[in-house]
Amino acid sequence: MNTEIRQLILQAQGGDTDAFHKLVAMHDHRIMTLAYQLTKNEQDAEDLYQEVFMKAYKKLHQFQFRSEFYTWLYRITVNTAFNLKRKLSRLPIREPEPTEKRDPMDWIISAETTDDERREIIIAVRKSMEILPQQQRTVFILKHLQSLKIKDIASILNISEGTVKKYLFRAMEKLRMSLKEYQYAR
Amino acid sequence: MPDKIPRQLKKQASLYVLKALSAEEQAEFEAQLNANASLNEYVQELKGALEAARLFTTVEPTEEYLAGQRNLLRGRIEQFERARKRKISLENIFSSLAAVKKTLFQSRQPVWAVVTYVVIAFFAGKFLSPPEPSSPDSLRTTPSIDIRKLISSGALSNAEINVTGNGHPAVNFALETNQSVNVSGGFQDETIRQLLFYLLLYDRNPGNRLKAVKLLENVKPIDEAKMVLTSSLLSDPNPGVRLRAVKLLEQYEPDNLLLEACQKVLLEDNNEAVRMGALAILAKQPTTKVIPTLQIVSLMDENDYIRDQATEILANLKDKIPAENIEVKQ
Repeated sequence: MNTEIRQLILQAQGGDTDAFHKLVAMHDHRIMTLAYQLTKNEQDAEDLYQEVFMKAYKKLHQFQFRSEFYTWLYRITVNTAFNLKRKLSRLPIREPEPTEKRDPMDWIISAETTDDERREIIIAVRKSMEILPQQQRTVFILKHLQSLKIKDIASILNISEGTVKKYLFRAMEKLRMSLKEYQYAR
Repeated sequence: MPDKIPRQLKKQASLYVLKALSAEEQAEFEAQLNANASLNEYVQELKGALEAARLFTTVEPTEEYLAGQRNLLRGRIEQFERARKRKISLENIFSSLAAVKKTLFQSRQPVWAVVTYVVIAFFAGKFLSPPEPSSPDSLRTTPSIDIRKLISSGALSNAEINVTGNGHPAVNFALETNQSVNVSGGFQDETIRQLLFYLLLYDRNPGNRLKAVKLLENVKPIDEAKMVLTSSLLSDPNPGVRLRAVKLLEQYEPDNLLLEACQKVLLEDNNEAVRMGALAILAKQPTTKVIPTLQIVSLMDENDYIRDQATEILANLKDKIPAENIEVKQ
């Protein structure tokens, strides 16, 4: 683990909130990205971001340097996202339909947001991702979009490396099949 | 055809495009890849799918956006810390409250003992000992009867109190035997005072108790009256009577007994006006002993004014008293 991060964790564990906020600033880009990838919704991503760092703040004293700090944050993020999804699934609320005025990607920098074809691909990918079971989708996001190692993904999700590989294969196969019809997989 | 590729090889292909194979596995797989056109096609499809999926990586929260989220988080953490400190503070207060209650509970028995003793001595002793000569002009009892004996025996009931134009209260009683007794006299009369004390403490009719406590406003502040009023403040079920009692007690010099009674009232009386009266008495001569009670009241009383007043008294008290003399749990 990076010495600076280790030092900041120790300071934050000792009650230094500024140290904690420095840790947040060092990791929140990845966490926000992951939050959005997991929730596919800006508002939920923001809620998840806040929830993750509040949990991290409250539980920081339990962090025992047995894993990388970011792995620990990822674990909190994934578990919180699962819980959030469970909670949301119990609510009789429909996700708002995207409108022309409100682009769900407005809140982020996007390279070519005016490119219709690119938008179509994004929609296709989204649809394909949405049909993946939660565990497969999470494994795929962590591996492909967050570039984590199989070992770390296994640790975050508390599953075996073999299971991670199995999920990756299934996710990849489903994505390939569903994207084929859009002919973007060629 | 990619779909005809063995499952195990497809699995390898997925891991290959995801760069999840070991160096050895990768070399082995690449050897097969060069020799197998279907596998090659399959891998290209997977790469295409990955390429499309990678569009998600264009999700790039801006630094400005993240700064906003960090500020929000900062606020939430500060709020959490405040709540945590308040919880710790409340836990300290509850332990202080327990200590205060323990103190009051222990001291309440002597308070009651003293009050009871005084009241009994007041009624019994006064009548057992030779009576003070009352002014025959001012006190009249009809029929001619030793009213003090009746008071001491507790045989008076159904009192009716009237105040005449010259300020002389006339108290009409019925004996338990239905014999009607009329007593009238001035406030300077010992017997009239004793009757008012008796009524305040024992009459079942709240109207009579209220009249009695109102009439006691005309009686000079004496220790016996203070005891009776304190007793009434602590025990009368009628808030109007308790309020009159506490207002009257403001005329008296607060001693330990009165201060303890006022603390109990502040912590336990459900009537805001009565609590305000008790606070006014505490404010007259606040001591370090009342600090724990004031701290509790300043935080927990449901009335804003009382909380503010308690806070102000505390602040004044802390200004006046050297910090080392203040035993306050933080």
